[in-house]
Amino acid sequence: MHNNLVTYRLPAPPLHPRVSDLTVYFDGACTMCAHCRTLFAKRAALIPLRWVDARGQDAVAMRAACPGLCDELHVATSDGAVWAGANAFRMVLWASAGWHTFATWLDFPILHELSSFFFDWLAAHRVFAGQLMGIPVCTNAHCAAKVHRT
Amino acid sequence: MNPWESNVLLPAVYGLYAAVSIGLTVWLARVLGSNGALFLRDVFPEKDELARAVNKLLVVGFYLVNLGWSALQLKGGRASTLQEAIETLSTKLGTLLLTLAVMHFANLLVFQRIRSRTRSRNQLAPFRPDTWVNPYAQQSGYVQTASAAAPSAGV
Repeated sequence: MHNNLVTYRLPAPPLHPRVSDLTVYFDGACTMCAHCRTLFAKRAALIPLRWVDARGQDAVAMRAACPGLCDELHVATSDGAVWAGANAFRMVLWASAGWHTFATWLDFPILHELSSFFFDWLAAHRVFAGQLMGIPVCTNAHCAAKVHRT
Repeated sequence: MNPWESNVLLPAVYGLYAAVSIGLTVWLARVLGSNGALFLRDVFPEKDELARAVNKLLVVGFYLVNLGWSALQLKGGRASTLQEAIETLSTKLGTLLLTLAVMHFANLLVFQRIRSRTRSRNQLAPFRPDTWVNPYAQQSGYVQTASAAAPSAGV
């Protein structure tokens, strides 16, 4: 007696999926992230944004699906498309009313690299950037952690 | 009395101006109506009646504004000589055409802004996703299980 696993061949996911809404998984323990969330929440959004703390109960299953969820900014659609790090940052800009057109330019080669560098630097130096922006620095050890890219 | 003196040609100028301005307004309204309908069908998908209604309202507004402006522009000018009559007519028509052009492009801008706001939802993502997950993973409490065993077939 043996178990037969039924394999379904799914169609390949689209290279550029349709986006009707976005869920942003941010680090709730980071004051910089919370400040950025407040800034974006005040702006009008062309694509509805749902903000979820990556360390909270609402993200339990997503943490299992994406092991690096708490280490980097993640953005996901309801269809399962996920962007991480600098790509997630660009998607949040694209979803905002005032930054929508600018975000599409960030797909061009030089601007793409510059924006990736900017985001990686910001993520790795949150304490210093927070001090520059006048944001209260979080006191736990997590905020001082550098972002390690695999 | 010399027919080329004392603005005698002014009524002719008025008549020509009225004919050209009305003809232009009607033609432009038809262009706006037929092509604007395509924009509005995109803005109101699956709501053809609403798109048609909005289109008709916009066309009525267009007629009112342009015919009103043309009527206001009618008065005035000198047409004592043929040269003056032609100059007066061309000045009036030029002003009208420029006004119609400004209104036409303003309408296009309004259409485009309405359309781009609507299309921004459900747009294609400009950047490729880094990974894909099971969509149900985003629902809280869902835990993916292993595949269920199929009934064995006579072992």
